[in-house]
Amino acid sequence: MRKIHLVRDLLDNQLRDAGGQNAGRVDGIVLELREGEPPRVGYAEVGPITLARRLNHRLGDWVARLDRRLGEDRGAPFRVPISRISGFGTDLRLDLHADGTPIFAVERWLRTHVVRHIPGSE
Amino acid sequence: MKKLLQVGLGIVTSVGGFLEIGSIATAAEAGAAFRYQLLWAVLLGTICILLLVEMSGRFAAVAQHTIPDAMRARFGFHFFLVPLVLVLLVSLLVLASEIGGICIALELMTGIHFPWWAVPAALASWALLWYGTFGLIENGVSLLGLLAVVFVVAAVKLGPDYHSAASALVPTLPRSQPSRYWFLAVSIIGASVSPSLFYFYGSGAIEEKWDASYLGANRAIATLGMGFGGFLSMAVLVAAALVFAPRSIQVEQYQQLPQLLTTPLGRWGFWLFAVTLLITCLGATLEISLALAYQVAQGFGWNWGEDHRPGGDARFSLTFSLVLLAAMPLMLVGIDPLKLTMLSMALTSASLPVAILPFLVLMNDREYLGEHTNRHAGNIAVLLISVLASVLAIVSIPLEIFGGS
Amino acid sequence: MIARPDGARVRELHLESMVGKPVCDAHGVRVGRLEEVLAERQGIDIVVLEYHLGPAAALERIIDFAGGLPLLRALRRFSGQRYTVGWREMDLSIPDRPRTTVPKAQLEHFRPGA
Repeated sequence: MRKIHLVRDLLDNQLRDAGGQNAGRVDGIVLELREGEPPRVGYAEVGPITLARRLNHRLGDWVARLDRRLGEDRGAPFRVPISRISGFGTDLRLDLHADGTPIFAVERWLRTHVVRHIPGSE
Repeated sequence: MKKLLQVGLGIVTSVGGFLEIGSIATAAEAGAAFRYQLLWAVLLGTICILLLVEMSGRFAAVAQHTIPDAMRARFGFHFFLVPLVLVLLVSLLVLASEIGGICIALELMTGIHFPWWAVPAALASWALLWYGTFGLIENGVSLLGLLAVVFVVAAVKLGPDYHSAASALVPTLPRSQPSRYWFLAVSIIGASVSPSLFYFYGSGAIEEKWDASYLGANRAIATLGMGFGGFLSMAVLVAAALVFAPRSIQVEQYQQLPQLLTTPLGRWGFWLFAVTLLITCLGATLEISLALAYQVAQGFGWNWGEDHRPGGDARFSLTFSLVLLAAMPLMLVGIDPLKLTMLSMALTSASLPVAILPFLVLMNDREYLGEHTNRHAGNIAVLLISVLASVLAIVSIPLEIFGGS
Repeated sequence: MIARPDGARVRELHLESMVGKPVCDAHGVRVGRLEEVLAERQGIDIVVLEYHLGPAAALERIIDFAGGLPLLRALRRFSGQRYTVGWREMDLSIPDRPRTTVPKAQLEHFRPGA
């Protein structure tokens, strides 16, 4: 079985959802450590909070505070269980529709709060 | 048949998209100062962009990924930020120059000083992007850009010495003003080889749903489109050599530029120049705004595309809006568009390796391209030209600004 | 640390923040930066097998598919050793300061492209 290079084949790669649209990139990877067992890949994190944290922790916290204003249950990075991602390499696929998920939270917020107010944009 | 039509349209739009304030201004100054001597720089820049455009189209057709997308995947987020930020900053200056070109054209037509046109020009460009579609912009504006053929008519009518023009295609050392010479050389190369142009081309190929069956079409479009585009730039340089150089006129103000066409064509030439400048700079403004929005969207994994409605791709649409909004103030405060153009073209040259070297690595990546990776000759040519242009730019920009010659 | 219903204690680690961190060995000698993590599918899980350290490992990530470039091949020759650390040999109890549990000399290493 082909080995997976987590940095090369997963981190930073483009995700496509079940409907074929671009659903962000793998901005972070969460490993789970258990005593005496090899680490397991738990989740992929998608979104600006994780990305900002990679640059600077304070910047990440600031983005998280902004994100909290976008709606309830917000302010934490969005996690996708690794079992829902397939096709490790250049064509990652996400086994869900991203439309209703927090992956599109910023997009939705901009649609309703900014774009809607520009005439002829519906 | 459909493909043939697409190839034809592709060539025509590439030609129309080639000439803009950058190539007109750099070629005009070069012709005025050194007659034909810098024609080799136009040739070199044209070869480089031709190769890069072909590569970018091939990458899109075979890999089904865009360059910024693959760059982040392959090199990681931190590395990706370097070319992203640098290309963004330099392209904003170029974009401001293009908006400046629209403003100059409108000043020539109306007599109203150019800064007054900054807001209307940016607003009109934005409206075209927001309410238009990829086909309208790419084909409509670029087709009109073919008007730039008048520069060829002008050059021929001025009666150039074809023999000495042809011999200037081989680089020679300047007899005087070396720092000015090299500064103009790199500005010319920077005007042809803009990273946003080949990123844009690759994104277009994805939007048009190209696959490996388009490789031949891609080669034809890149070669003929960029080739004819370079030919137009050469015509501007030749016209400038015949209009300005014999009278020892240095091009220092943009108001002098219409002479390129008024000298050979009379009063009609004035209007032809203004309209050509307006259309080509409008085309370039739209193209650069879109290219930067593509780059950001692809790097962050958003949906993107000019054919989507703004209501569908809010992040993408707001990005090109912000890009226009960021570039426009430079013209509003009345920075000399001609000086800004020359500087931003030279800066483009200086920054080339940062955008091109990772691109070359991707063009040799078997996972993305399979058997369609670059040949050695293409790698070496692009590497040499971009590194050479960058080194010359880094040396000559300070000399030009602080006066060295 | 979060307690799970099955009693196993699970600790979470962010791989993206570990990439690029310098790793020292059991005696505090610097081995190299963490550049790649090799994993494998085991049943429904994806399990980490080993960590790759050093500039050669970073270069490898880019070169794997672009090895045809002579310039990159030359670069690889000068990029030094790549160290491989098995998951058992890596102590991640302080995520910001990963350590190997064995001395540098005992780590598996090779010079790519040599």
